[in-house]
Amino acid sequence: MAITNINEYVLSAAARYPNKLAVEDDLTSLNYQDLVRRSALLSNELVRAGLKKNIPVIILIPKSCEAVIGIVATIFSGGVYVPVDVTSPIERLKSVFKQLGDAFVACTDATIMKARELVENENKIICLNTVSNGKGLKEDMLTLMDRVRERTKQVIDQDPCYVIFTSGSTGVPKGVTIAHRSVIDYIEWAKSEYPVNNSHRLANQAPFYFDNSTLDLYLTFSTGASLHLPQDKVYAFPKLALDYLSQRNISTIFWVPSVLVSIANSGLLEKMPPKALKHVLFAGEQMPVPQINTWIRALPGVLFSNLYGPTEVTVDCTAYTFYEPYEGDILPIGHACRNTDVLIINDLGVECVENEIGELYVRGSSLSLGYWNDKGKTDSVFIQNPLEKRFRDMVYRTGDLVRRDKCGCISFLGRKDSQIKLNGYRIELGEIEAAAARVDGVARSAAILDGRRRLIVLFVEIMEGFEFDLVKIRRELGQLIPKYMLPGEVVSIPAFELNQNGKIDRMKLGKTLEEKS
Amino acid sequence: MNSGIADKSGQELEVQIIQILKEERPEIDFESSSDLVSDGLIDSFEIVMLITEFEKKFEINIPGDEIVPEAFATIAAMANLIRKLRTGG
Repeated sequence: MAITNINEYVLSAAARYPNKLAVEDDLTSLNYQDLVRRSALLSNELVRAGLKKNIPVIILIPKSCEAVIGIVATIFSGGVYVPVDVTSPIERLKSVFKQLGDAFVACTDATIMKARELVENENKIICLNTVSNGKGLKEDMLTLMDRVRERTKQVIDQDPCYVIFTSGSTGVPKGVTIAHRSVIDYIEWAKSEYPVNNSHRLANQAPFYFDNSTLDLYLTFSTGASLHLPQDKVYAFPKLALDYLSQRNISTIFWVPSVLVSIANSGLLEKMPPKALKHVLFAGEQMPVPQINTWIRALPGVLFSNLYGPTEVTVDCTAYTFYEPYEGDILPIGHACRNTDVLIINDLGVECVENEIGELYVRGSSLSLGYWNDKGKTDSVFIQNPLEKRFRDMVYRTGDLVRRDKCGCISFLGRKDSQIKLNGYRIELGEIEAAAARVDGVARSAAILDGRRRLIVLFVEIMEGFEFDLVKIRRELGQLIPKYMLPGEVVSIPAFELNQNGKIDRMKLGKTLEEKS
Repeated sequence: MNSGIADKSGQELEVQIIQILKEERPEIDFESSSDLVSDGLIDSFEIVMLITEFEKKFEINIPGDEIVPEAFATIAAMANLIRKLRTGG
C-alpha cells in the first residue's frame, strides 16, 4: 500500500534497520532506533506544550543530529517544520515568525537566547537539551511510540510537512508550504532515478533551510541508508572535502555547483578520487561544463545528474543524468521527473514549438500548497493551466525562461525578473534593495549581480546632507538580511540614470560593471 | 616609496591581505581573531573568493593541497602561504 506521509519512511527504516547508522555529525551519531526514540521523546514534549496538527515548528538549531531530531519530532507530532538559518539577523527571523502567525520554536542551549528574542511566550519554546532522555519518564517508550503511530495515522498526504522561506522581492520572505504527498512523489522518483540502497552513505551539503536537503533526508530514510553531516568548513577546502568523502566511504552527494567547481579547480580530484562515490547530483545554479567534465574523467562509471527546480515544486522537477563527459557548451536541465509535467509557454499564452524560448510552467502533485498565510502571492503564481479550460488544473509559473530541443531535452536560459542565484542561494535583488531603503541616508539603490566576479554589487544614491559610509551601510544591511544576500561591493553614485519607463536603468549599471573589468 | 618589489617584503603583504578582506567584509575586525575559519568570520564561499583574489593579485597559483584551514586561519598564515608560493614558484 502506498504511504500517506513521510513519517512512515522513518518508522519503517527503524523497524527494518534499528541498529543501522541513520545520521552522523562530528559530535554525535544516531542509529535508526536512537533517532526514532529521541524524536518520539521530543514529540511528546511538543504535544504536551500544545502543538496541534498543521502548526509550524521553527527549527532554530544549527545543522546537526539535533536538528534532524527536531525535524522528525515535528512530523511525528503532525506539525510542520520550518528550518531557518540560525545566523540570520533577528529582524529577518522575526518577519518569518510574523508570517507564520502561530508557531513553536525548537532550539538548543546554544540558540535559546535567540529563541527568546523571537517568541515572548516561553511555553512555545522547546529546548532539546532539557528534553528527557527517557529515564524516569512516567510513560514508557512503548506508550510514546503508540502515540507517535496514532498521530501519524491522522496525517494525510495533503497535510503540509515543511515550510521553507525564500527571498521575497518586497522584503517579506515567502513561506513555501510543501505537502507530504509532494515529498513522497519526489522521493519515489529519486529512488527510481538514483539506485540508492541501505548500504549507501550520503554526505549532505545543503543547509536544512535550503530544500535540496529534502533529498538528503528522505532518500536516506526511505532506503535505510546513512546521512553524514560534515561541518561547513569541509566544503571550503577541497582537500578536506575529498578526505571526508573517502574516509567515510560516501556513495552519494547532492551538492551545490560552486562547491563542485572549487574541488574540480583544486587539481586534487585526479590525485585523490573518492573511490566509493557512485552518484554525484547537483542543483541550485548552472554547473559549468569544464569543471563537471573534470569530475567525470576522475570518476569513470559514476552517475552524474543536473537537477533543476524551484522550491515551489518540491526541490526538483527536471533532471539530466549522464555518465560521460558532456560535449556541448551548457549543461541542459533535462527531462521532467516522474509524475511531473512541464509546459513551456510563450508571451501569447501558447505552448512553444521546438527551440522557442518561453516560460516554464509545472504541473503535478509536486506543486506547493502555496505561500503560508499569503493568498495574494499564492494566487499570482499558482494558477489555472492556461491551456486547460475544461477542468481545474493548477500550474506553477516558475518565471524561468527555457527552451526544449528536438529530443525533448530542456535548457535553462535565464529569469523573467530580477531573481538571481548565487552559490546556490535564491535571492530576490528587490529584497536587498528593500533592506537598503531602510538604511539612513540611502535615497535609492539598485542591486546587480556581477556574474563574472560572482558577487552582488549594490549601487546607492546618498541623500543630501549624508556621507557615503560603506561600513555603516554594510553593518546595517547585516542586521536586516542574511549573510548570503549581502552585497560583495557597495558603490556610491551621484544620481541614477533612468530608462524610458522612468525606472533605474539597470542595463546601464550592468554595462558599467563590464567596463570596469 | 616605490611599490612593486618593496611591498613584497615585511609587513606590506599583511596590509594588502587585510585590504582584500576589508573590501569583502569592511565591518569585521580581522586582526583580532586567532582563527578566522573556526570563528566563522570567513565562510566557505568567501574562502573560494579569497583564493581567486590572491591568485590574481599576487600572481601565484595556490595548489589544492595548500588550501587547508590552517593556511587561512590568520592574516599571518595567509601571508606565509603567499610568500612561500612566491619564492617557490
